[in-house]
Amino acid sequence: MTNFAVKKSSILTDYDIDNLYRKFGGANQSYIEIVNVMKNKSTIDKYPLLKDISLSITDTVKEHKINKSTY
Amino acid sequence: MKANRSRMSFAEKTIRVLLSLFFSKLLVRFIFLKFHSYFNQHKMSAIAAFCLPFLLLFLSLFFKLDKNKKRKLKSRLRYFYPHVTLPVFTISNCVRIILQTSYLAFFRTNKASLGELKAERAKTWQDIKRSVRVIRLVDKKLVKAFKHAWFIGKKKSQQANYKRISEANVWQSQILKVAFIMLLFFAVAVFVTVPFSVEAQAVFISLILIVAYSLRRVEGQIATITMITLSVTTSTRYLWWRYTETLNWDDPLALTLGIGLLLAETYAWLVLILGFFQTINPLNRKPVQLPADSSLWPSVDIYIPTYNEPLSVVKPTAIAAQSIDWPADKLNIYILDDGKRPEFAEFAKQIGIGYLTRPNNNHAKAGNMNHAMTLTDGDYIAIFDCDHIPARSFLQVTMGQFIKDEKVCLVQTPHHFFSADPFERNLNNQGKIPNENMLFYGLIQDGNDMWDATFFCGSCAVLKREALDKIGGFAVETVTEDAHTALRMQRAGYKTTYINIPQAAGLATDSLSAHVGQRIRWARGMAQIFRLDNPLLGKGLNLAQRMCYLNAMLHFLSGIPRIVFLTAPLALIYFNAAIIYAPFLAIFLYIVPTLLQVKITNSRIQGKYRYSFWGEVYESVLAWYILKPTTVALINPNKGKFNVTEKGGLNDTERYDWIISKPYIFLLLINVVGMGYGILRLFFGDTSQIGVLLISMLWASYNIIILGAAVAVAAEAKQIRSSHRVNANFPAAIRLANGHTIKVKITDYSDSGVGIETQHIPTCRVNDKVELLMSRGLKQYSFATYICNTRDKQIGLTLRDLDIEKQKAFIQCTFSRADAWLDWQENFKHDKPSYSFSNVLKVSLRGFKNLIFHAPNELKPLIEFSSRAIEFIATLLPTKPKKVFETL
Amino acid sequence: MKRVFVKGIKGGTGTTSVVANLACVLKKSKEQVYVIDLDPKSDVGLHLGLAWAHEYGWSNYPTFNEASCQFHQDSDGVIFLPFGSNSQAQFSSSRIIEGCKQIDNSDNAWLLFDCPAHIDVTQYSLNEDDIFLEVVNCDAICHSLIYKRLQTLSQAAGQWQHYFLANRYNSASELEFDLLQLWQSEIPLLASLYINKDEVIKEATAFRNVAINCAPYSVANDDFETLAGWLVSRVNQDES
Repeated sequence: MTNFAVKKSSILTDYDIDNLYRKFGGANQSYIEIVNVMKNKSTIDKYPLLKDISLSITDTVKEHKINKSTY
Repeated sequence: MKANRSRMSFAEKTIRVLLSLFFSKLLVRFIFLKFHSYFNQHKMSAIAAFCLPFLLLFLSLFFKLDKNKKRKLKSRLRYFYPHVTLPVFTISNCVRIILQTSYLAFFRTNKASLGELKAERAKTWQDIKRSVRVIRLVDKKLVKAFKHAWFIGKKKSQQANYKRISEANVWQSQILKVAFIMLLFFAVAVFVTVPFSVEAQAVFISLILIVAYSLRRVEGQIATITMITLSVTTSTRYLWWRYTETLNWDDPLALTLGIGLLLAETYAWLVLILGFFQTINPLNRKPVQLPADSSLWPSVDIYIPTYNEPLSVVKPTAIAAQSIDWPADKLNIYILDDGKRPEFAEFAKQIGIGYLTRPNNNHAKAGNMNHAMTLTDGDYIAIFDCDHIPARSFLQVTMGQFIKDEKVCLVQTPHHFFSADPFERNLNNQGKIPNENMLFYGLIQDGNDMWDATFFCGSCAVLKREALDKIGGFAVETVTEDAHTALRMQRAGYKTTYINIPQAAGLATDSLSAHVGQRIRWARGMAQIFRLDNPLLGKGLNLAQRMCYLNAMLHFLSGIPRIVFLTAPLALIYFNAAIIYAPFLAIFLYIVPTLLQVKITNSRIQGKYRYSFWGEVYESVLAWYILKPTTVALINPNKGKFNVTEKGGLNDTERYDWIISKPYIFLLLINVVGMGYGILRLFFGDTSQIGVLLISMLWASYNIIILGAAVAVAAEAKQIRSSHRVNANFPAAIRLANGHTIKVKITDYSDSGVGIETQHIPTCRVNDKVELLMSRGLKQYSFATYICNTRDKQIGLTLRDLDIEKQKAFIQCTFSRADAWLDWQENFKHDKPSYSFSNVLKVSLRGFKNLIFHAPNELKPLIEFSSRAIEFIATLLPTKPKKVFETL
Repeated sequence: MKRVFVKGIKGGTGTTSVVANLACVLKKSKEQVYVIDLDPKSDVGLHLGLAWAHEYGWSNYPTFNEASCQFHQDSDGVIFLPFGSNSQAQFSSSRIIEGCKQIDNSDNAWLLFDCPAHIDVTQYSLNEDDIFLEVVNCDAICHSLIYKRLQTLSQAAGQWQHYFLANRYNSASELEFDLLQLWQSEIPLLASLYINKDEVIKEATAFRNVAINCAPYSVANDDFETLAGWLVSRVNQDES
């Protein structure tokens, strides 16, 4: 298994944060990709089906993590 | 025709009759045939045309001139006199024939000897090339050997003894440390002040040069420090010698000029020493990680001050600022518009950022930002000039410093340009030679950081609001409010930091005059700071910080010294004033090695950020212009007005900026005339001072080269694009109309399109619609584009139908990539002084060519006349005989 | 030996193409790959070059050992076992899954199972080393199904690695773009990659081949390589 090259992220565009930390040290795990919370909310509000589902699960579902590290 | 013939025939008839008395009919016919041919075909004058046949007849008595022989004779003549023009009998041709005949008589020009000459010349050239190669090889081997020698020495010492010594408790003792440093100073002082005889100086200097030479390829801090110590020693010694032995107290003219030169040299020495101090150990600070929980992150306001820049320049900046990776509830962006333009307000509303104006425009940018501070409340304030587009990682890279140490009030990042500055554009060396601001942001500011003396540069930085409040807001008393604000904050006990990672890029000044205008403002501002809030005095700063500020200030005082250096040799040439009162040999032994040593050391330290000799060019360009503002500001700091640097203008024709290059041309002229005068003196003047005269002429020719390069910069190249193109190298993809995707590489982008390169060339043509897929992190965006041009493996795509959301996304995927500017220093190899010099020389020659090419219309006739005259005289000179093909 | 179960959250999400292309990528990286078709549609073979007329598969045999004669190898070296024509056998797929355990015990062997969309995941007895990949498309129905699945998962008894993989992603579609952005922050089990919509994936089957052989310069190629790499990292994480 050791000779398999692991591609860490979508190859479509070379991950710029990886480049940044590769050059200047530090762990790219520490970079936080900010989630556009407003946009997500407006998506849910825009489509009634999504809104319905969202309302139904708000009581039961686990804690949302709004922003999380890259992985 | 008929009339001519009838007229001619009357004179002809009479002459015919006359001739037929002496010659046969055949001969007469021959004469007239020849006459007509010469007169009509070869356009000779009538008399010449008439006499020539007689001459021919005369000659035919001696030579048998049949057709073949005639042809041979003609070809031989053409061979020996190739530069003679038709018609043959003109005055200039007579001169040519005479000169050529004498040339042929005295020099060997037959074919065999020509071949020999060629072979000889080829052989000497080969010899020269071979010896150069041998020298290079020896040099390489020697340097390698020295490197090994130093290495072995280092290794051995590293092993046992060195470690023991360096870690011994002996160093902990303060007294011993002080004693050691004093001993070092004493040793240096001795070296500097002991007067050497010429021979001793020669030995001393050659020892130093050998050491310097041997250290050339050795890397590492120790070698650099050694080189610096050697340079300090030699240059201090040089200066001591100048002060004590080379002033001529008897001759008042020489004394005055000599003191002027000496002061300039002292300035240069001071700048050198301070520079070494400043850059001896660049800090290279690394970004600090932020807490994992982003709800703990502080709030940041982003100010984008603007006054008269067009909206197209501000748009990308605002959009990129909005997409910086920071919690949205903790990020507020404001356009501070002193121009109070409605389209800006509308744009701000459209993309959802703040727009602030104020009732007046007092104190320009500083006043603008102070006013904004009263309306906003973020804990930190990030400032971007309106054309500086930030990367999305800007805040996450910089803000950690504040959290790590709460005394930090400023995090500054480099100013990087994605467009060419006037030097790069007009001399066409963008990407080949580090540009002018690379030295400051790449090395000097990093060195400042080591001494905690980073100062604020007005943009691409984050400031702590609390610190600004403590000093009463941004400083408004000077025109460089940025440096002054940082100074105040440092006095108040705060620390400043610099992160040497470019996280924003903007537009460089777009013309030489704008560039000079900007530097004038900085120079004036620095001088004002020195008058109003002198960093050398007052409390709150430590010695190292004061030294760094002093060096920054001295940099802007380089006007007078540079002009002194550019004119000093003329004093000797024109007035024979012995400004350096010493024998030629001493001058040679003191000056040349010191210069060499200093140049080598500087090349070693600054090699990646500035190439040798370009510093002189930049200084020469600015010298005249910063002279007055700094002097005025030093005397009266409140005079002078703030002039904004224009950004975003377009140069639509190629032209030469005569107005701005007047000083350089003047200096160039007096140097050129000086050279000519010097040559005259060499041949006709007294030969006692010949050594010194030669050195002065050498110096003057160096000045001419530098000035030539400065002149070259004033030729403004044409700017064809309306939007600036940035080189890039990151992967993306396209989806064709048939649903197939192809991996591509983005090679460049502007705000309206991209250039891509692909190994697999799709069958598509211009105007085909193509979907461009680019990512920002894990988010992929699709852009509608069409093909605007194709060439080999490259395709140019232009964006279409961009609504505001897509514009935002495009900027996020291109300009504000976290790695967009990371290779700002990548392509530059380390400086090689000899190559750099030949480069400057080439540029200088180009400068001269430009001067002549772009001459203003009044001078054009003169130039044309002189060039034609020179050409004409050149044709009179004898030339080597060469094969001429006969035209039948 | 690593086991990956791939199933669509509903029919028609492109599961079999994912399995076939993934198998090919893994094989090209010098892994040993076995593909077992658990779907009565029996179409894995068609992706991997099996003749249409060949009807037989493991379902036509009573035991695993007898069925092993139906193992085929495609031109890339992927070893696969078609379902066959006996659609009733889908209910006894556990015997095949058990039987497959003996195939290859080496470290770099992958066992990919192409599962039908209508199956209930608890029917397979999964252990904690297994990876269950549920292929989704970015549309509202899949959104609703994902949340339903999340509810059942929270009550499931067994332990396995369960992920959702977005397939046929078209960023030009506003709905797909918005949904994926929402899922990336809201759905913890979403794989950190997606397979882009690419015509060549469809075309390749018509050519009786897989996309990565037909168009090595395409984005699909990269996406499947990324998928393979991501799976490897999931497996390694699990082991350490």
